[in-house]
Amino acid sequence: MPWFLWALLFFAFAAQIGFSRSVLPPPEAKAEELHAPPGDAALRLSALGEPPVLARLLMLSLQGYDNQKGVSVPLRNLDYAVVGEWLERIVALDERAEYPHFSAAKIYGVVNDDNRRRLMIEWVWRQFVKAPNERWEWMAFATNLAHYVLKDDKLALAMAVELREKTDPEKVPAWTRQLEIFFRENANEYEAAAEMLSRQLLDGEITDPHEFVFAYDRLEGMLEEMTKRGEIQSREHLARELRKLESLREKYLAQFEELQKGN
Amino acid sequence: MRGGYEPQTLFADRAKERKTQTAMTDARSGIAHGAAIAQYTLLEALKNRVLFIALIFTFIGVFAASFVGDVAVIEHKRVEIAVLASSYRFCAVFVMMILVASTIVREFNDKCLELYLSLPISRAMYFAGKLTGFYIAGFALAAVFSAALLLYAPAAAVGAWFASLSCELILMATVTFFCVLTFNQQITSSLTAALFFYLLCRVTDSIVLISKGEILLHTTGSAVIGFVVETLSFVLPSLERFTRSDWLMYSDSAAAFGALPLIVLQTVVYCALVGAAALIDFSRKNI
Repeated sequence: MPWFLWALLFFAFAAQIGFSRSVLPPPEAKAEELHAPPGDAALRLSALGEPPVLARLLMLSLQGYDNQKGVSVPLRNLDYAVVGEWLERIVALDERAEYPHFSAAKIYGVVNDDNRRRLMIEWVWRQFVKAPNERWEWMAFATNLAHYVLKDDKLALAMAVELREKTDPEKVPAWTRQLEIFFRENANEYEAAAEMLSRQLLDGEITDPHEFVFAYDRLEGMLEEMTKRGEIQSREHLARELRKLESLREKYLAQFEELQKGN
Repeated sequence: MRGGYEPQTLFADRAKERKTQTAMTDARSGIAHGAAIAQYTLLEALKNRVLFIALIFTFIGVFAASFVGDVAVIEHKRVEIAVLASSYRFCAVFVMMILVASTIVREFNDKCLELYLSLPISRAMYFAGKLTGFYIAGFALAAVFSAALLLYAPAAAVGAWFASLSCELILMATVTFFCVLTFNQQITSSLTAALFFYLLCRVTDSIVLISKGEILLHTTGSAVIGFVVETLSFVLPSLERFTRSDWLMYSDSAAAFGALPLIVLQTVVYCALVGAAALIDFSRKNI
């Protein structure tokens, strides 16, 4: 092999290194604005027949927006209306995906900005209505967020009512459907809360011994509260309901004790 | 004269018998030649390190998926499967197309085809032998990728995914063979055409749905586009329904097995169509 070929290889290699180190400008960290997503049709075409795969990749890319190439962008600096649009597109690509709901409730929803929080809570609510028995988990989280973090009792109660009305007792845990009861109790609406809780117990919606005993104790607490407040009529009605539940309570208490022995 | 036979009848019977025997021997030797061609095609695929490439892609895919899965906050497994299954599917089809195009073009250029055709082998038998070899290579490719997916998804769903990927590879091998013959054994144009066909088949259903949607303006232009798209959907196989990653992501083996009969039927029908077109083109070629 002629020697100049080796020389050419060596010089070309050196030139490449020199070019990349000194001629090319070094990469610059620059935060990019989150642009509005393309339309549903464009995304569906780009998916090449695999929308669930594109949904996951888009979700990861959206998730990475707060940590772009070398720059950390606080979540509260993102345009949440656009974030909501992206999440909506992702759900449209794969309706069974949990990732967008999780992100809306537990990542974007817990940002330290009430307006942005509210946008995400409302987003979760809108998505919940489309498939209540599948998306109750995120709705329950967003309801608690509205109540305890956003401190918007009206919004939280409206969401809790929807959570109870739209879900099937056999498909979601009982505590989810009891959020409304607890919110009403916190708002001193003892009569309504007690009525709903005793109805759930009598209808056999709560079958777990732990939950039953907890709910029964709660009812007794409400009874005491009513006595203190002098709500005689409501108190007597609740006392009658509690008497009806007495035998059931005994049964569940026995189960509860057996479970504790087993542990 | 024996047994009451007329001599003419006896000779005619013997001639008929000889003809039948010759035809059967020809058929047997034709099948044997076809099997030999299939065997050598498979051998060539092995020597082209197709399985080695598949294994390398399998390992790269597993590492890439594990990295992407770690980035995900929830649905780690689903994200991993999404990345793995979709990249394996594309990789398998791409390797298959390259294998078919390079093998056929090499045989044309090295005059191997002329040698084969100088032997008592019909063009149809050569064509069938070649395709059989590619199909077996396709099964092997699908098996390698599916074996890796067994680490992530239940066996039943992976089994259906394997069967569907095999059908997809069989279909694309036939189409690529057709493209190579049609584009006069030019590797660049044949591969471009096959790839374009593949991508188009992966989005045809979406295009049809979009063209029927309300977002398009109802003008003459959109009506013409709608008609063209609808016509295209009649002549193209719907690859969107093949080898879906969500079967594995949601362990939905019931949906996967439910889709399989249609996938197999579509493969058989389309391979017959493209195979017949390719064979007509091949028979008319002056070699």
